[in-house]
Amino acid sequence: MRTVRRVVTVAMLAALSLPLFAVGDGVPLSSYPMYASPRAEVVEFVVVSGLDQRDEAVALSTVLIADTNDPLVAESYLRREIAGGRADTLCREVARRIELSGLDEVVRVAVRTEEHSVVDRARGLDSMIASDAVTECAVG
Amino acid sequence: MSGRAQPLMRVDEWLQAPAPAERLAGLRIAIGGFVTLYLAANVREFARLDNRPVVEFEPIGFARLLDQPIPAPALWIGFAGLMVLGIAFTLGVAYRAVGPAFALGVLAWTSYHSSWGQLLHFEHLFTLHLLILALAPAADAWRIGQSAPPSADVRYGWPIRLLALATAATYVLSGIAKLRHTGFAWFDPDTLATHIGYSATRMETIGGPTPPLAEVVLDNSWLIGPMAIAALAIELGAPVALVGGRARNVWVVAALGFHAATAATMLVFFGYRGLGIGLLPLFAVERVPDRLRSFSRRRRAAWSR
Repeated sequence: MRTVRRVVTVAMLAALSLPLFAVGDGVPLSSYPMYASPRAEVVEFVVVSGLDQRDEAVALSTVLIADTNDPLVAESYLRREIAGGRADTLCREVARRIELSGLDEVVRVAVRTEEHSVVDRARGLDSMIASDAVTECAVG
Repeated sequence: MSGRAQPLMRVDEWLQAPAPAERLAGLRIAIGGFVTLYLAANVREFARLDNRPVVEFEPIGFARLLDQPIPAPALWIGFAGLMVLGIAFTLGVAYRAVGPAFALGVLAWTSYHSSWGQLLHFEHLFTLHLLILALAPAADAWRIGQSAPPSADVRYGWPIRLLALATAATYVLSGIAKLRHTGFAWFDPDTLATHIGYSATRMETIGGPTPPLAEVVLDNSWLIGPMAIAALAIELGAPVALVGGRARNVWVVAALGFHAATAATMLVFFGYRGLGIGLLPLFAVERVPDRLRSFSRRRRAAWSR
């Protein structure tokens, strides 16, 4: 039995290490690549805003924007919708969630991409490099 | 005995040391309870995924068995099943059947949850821990209707060692990933600064709160180099925690500080590790009730004086 325990232990450690050498990142065996690669200083983000009658921005929560509380899921969802050519669907889904939430002051949703110097942005400095409108849709 | 054989013998002794059944049972309760509460608290994720279009589905792990998303009624039946199994697992009810069923259910859910273009690495370690616990006699103590617990045995000690090894391995793998993908550039303060800046900007653009200490750290850039070194040292140094005693305590405090710092600067929090649940296999958790009782007695005595 002692030998079986030794073999199983080594096999478990080998399996845990496998993503480093062969199978790549997966579930639940992973190479844990998050925050391991260098990032660019300038990054493009998808920004979803609510607009009121006077075209002024109204802050939207992560749940309204992406139907989740998880920032990783939210960011990935937005990027994939834009990359997949589903910006209009994304816009309508956000508008529907806003309508259901009763946030009456928001009459339109705007989706755009913004390029920021991320360090400047986090330091509260002027960070915008570029901004492009992607789509807009009405709430209700 | 040769000099090389001695360390291996010590590792083997450590691996095959007996432990009380209560220690393994304590881990079942802590880990099973955490995962059940985590799933309940994340019910919104089930709601989010009950109506996603097939085009967004990128199956990974267990979910590769599916060629399209799970229909909403089946997903909610799965959620209810996980809740029932999670409670039964934590209480140790019908453990031989419930243990594997809950672990496989969680593996299926975490695979499915990560099958939408974003791998959720914070769910990996508790899934691994549940799979180990499911195959261990983790309900021989501290379960409803149980008589006197059995005496200490290697069959309780070895699974605890596997749990501890899995914890340490996941930290080491994270450290290796940093060296592989970034190399010595990891020690360049700009590398960590862009991660902090990226996370803060991301939170802002998705309507979330900004990390409370991101701006402070970026404004005091001399902090970033030591933070990068400390993060890597904690990850690669995780095996020292297996030694136990002071080395373990120092590492655990450092690891909890690392998770707190990551939350404060990047709003990235791996709850299972950051709350210490994933680190419990490094400790004699069966002593917790006695310590609490004795603490409570001392408090009562102090009050009555």
